[in-house]
Amino acid sequence: MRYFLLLFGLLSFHLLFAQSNSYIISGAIKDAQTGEDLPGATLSLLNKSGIGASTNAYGFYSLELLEGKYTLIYSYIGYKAQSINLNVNTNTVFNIELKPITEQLSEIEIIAEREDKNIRANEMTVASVSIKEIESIPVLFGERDVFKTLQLMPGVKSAGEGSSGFYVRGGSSDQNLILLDEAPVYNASHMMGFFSIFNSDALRDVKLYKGGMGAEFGGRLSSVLDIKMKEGNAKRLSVNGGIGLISSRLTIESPIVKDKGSFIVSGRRTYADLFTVFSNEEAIQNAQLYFYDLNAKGNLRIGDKDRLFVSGYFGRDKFGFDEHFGFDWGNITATTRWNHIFNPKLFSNTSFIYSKYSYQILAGPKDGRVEIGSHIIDYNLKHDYQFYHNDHSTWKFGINAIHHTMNPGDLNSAENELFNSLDVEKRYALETAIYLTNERKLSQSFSLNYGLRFSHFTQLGPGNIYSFNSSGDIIGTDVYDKWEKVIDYNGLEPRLNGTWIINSVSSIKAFYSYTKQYMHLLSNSSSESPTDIWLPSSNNVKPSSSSQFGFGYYRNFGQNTYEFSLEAYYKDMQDLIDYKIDAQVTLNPMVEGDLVFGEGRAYGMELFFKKRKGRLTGWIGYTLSKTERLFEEINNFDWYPAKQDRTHDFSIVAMYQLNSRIQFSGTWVYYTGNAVTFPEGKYTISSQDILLYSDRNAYRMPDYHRMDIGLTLKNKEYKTVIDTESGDFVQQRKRFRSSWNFSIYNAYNRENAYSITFEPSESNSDVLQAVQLSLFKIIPSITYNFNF
Amino acid sequence: MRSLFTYKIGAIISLLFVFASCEKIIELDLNHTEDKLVVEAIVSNLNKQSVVRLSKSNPLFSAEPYQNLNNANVRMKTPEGDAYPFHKIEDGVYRNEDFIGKEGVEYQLEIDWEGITVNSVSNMPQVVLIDSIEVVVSERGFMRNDEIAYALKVHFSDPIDDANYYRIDVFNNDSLYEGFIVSDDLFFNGIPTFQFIMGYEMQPLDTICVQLSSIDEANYSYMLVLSQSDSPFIIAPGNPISNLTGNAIGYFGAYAQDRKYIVIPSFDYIN
Repeated sequence: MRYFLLLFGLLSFHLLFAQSNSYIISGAIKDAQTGEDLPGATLSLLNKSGIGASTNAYGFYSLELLEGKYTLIYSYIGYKAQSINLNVNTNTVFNIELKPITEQLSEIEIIAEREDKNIRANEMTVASVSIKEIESIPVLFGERDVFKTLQLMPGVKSAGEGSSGFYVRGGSSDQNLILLDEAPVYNASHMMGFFSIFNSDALRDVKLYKGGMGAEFGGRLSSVLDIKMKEGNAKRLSVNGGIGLISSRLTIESPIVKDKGSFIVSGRRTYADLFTVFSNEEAIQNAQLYFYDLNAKGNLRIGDKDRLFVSGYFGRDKFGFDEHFGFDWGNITATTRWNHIFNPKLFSNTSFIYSKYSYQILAGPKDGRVEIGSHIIDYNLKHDYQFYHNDHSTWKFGINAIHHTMNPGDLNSAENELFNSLDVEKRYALETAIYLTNERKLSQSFSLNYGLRFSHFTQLGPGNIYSFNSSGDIIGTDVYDKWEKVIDYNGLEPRLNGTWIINSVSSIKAFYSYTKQYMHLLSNSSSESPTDIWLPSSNNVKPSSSSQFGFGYYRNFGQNTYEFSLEAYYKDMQDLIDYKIDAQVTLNPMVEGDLVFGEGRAYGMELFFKKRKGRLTGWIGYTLSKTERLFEEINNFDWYPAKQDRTHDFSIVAMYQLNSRIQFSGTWVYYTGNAVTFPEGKYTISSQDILLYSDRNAYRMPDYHRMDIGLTLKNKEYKTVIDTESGDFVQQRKRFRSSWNFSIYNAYNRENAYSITFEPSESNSDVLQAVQLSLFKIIPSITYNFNF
Repeated sequence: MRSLFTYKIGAIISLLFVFASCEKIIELDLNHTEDKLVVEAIVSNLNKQSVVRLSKSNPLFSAEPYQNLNNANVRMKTPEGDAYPFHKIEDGVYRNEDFIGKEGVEYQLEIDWEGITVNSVSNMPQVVLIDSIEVVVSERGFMRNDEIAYALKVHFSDPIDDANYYRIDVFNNDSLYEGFIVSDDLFFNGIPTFQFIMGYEMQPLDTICVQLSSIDEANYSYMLVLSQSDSPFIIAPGNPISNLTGNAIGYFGAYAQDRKYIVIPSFDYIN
């Protein structure tokens, strides 16, 4: 702690006594049409390669330059660059607005922009998908989906047909840190994983770190999915929405004070239960099945140096089945954030975040109705700084504290006391971290991003805390008071990323990271379910940790038209959790006695080839990988393949812009099947057939492949009007624009295996047959989208 | 009762797939393991209910009936050193007519068959009696399928001390219904409670026998895994942990049992 303060002090001194004839150019870069911040936009200098800056997540940049004359070039992909000639002799604030490239501007020459960002940027293993790409790619039921689009990138595997859970580089789905405007989201899927909770109309940026995360991130082993919402159009009221087969959406954005503040409200609701009316069974006719999402965000600039944001997300899934059964679950997140610019070199962000995930099950007939509820609530305080030291060094540092409350389940049974009302005790924990990173350009060709994160986790009372021996029997119970420490864990997590820029079209990068995870998801079935429980580390459960290292080679072709990368990685994981074969997870206060602990390893190679410009754009991704687990109690203490071990995973995405109004898109995915445990024999107990299973995950599901195609037809965007001054006919962009999207999921109607079960044959009930269930055949859909 | 929730969640999830899904029979190439010796052995406090059944497992897709084994040497031993031989009575079924199990006694099973020796130990818990059985009728069926359906509420009182584990078997006119119902006493420790038994075909005037067995933890764990093994929503498919040592699968349990009978009333009696 002392070293930290000393370092901070030294930096501040440096700041006060900066080199006498250098000055700082700083400010914000925004979209000229909507006023949205542009994170990752760049400032470079004409004829001075190697010097530049890029905006942070809030669109803020800062660059220190020696006194002199420069041509500053501001640029961002998809926008027309701007240049400014400047004689630098004082600190200057330039707030820039870049115009997005539309059809009308395409003839104008575009100054070379940071299209080579994939070569230069000191970030590797990042899968970025633009919101535009998410909106063009056809997916299930015509619903655009962030997760499904990410699953088309190498290294990211979907958790199964229709599921929006995902696995990154052999990790399990709870090893992904999902952040929505900095708020951690515990269950990011709707309807058992068929859709994610992210309404892409409300999003600005989606970035997935597959490994090599900077020290500012922590708490999950395998990835960070950093999702930022839009700020809202700060220039004028804007509405967009869509009506689709099973859901509809509406987004309203408007300035609060023009150019100073804005808000956005975005909602989405499905109505899949409308279709149940067509069922023959009355039980299904009365079923309720819907979900909704509501995103709301507002921001206001106060003076030149401060900006305040408030954002929230509310979402719920509801499933009901007459009066006998009801099941609902959802997330609520709320974030309050304050950006402050101390001086052109020092930017800070302070956030206070509330996050709650809960579910509730109602079951049973009227006399004997039982309610089971569970929730997890986080209060999170973050304080982060970015210090733009000079043109070759930027520092980031900060602290983060989260208080967790977990209610694994309470059972209330009304009226009859046929059950004791059961309250599995709440669990409390405090997770804190402090970090420091430096991004440093060592020379024209070498740069390094290194950092250290120190994390700390404390299990807190109140509660009756059980201790278990290795067989899972209770050996003691201790009582703790509120805020009394039960046990704590520490972690020192170094992170390192290096880039060697070989030339303007190629580079080599390497990374190493060590991460710790203190919260674990116990999954009650072989696929994710909303009733999965988040378990904190405790006196019985150690935190998991992971070391990962890898390298990559990056090459652009054809003046940045084509992008190619090859990445290879190795990851090992310690202190992973699995269940004993007879574990009881629901409402079990002693669930920690039913757990077993082990390790895992994963390695692989990812190839990626992308065409970024032209009528035809898209990418091809291929992953060759292996991921295994080792637990003493499972598979005779031998390594066995993890469920998500899919050897080959291949995807092609293509988008073809026929003309300004018509775009075709298509995807084709292929992957070898999950590892699965099948029975190899059968025997009889109490006159029933019992399956005799093989070694864990010794078999594979059949290969999966599928093609989706889509067509977007934009209605006329321009109308011809007579210009009142010159009397000529001119094209004016219409205020109300709309488009139709047609898509077909599983275009060649392949029956991909969702599950394989073993059922008695209809002709002879003594004989078993393998029955394959496929979820989706060919599914066409239509969506109408509009905006004004 | 918890497994009932899991079952319901599973059933509901399956409904989601009503819309566009399909099933088909496929061929699978599976390795065939050697056939295993299967032991199902129960010692009971009820007269003539202790039994040992021996059979062999079959390949998964086999159409052959299970082979029952008749040439085994089966012995039940008590801590005092008494050994009761069990003789083959029917195909694969071994009994001893004079043997009755006692509560609180630890029994030891020994089997020799074709060079394989199997041993196991189980302690019989204290018996828990069935207080009463109630018949519940739903005219439109519990799953609203418009067929009259019957269910049972089996009332009993859980003793407060220790952890109790139960297994319930239901017979209709002496034939055993399929299904393993097991429960621990986590939700009802020390209080009178009931188990809801539904989904079994019952007609008016059927004689139903409900057998409540108090079992030990190892048997509860074994039966629990069996009861979940046909659901697609189990944690991970796997074989239950057997309490037998030796190259065999199956279980041995010393059960303290109670049986009660009830006749499903004919329709006129139901209001």
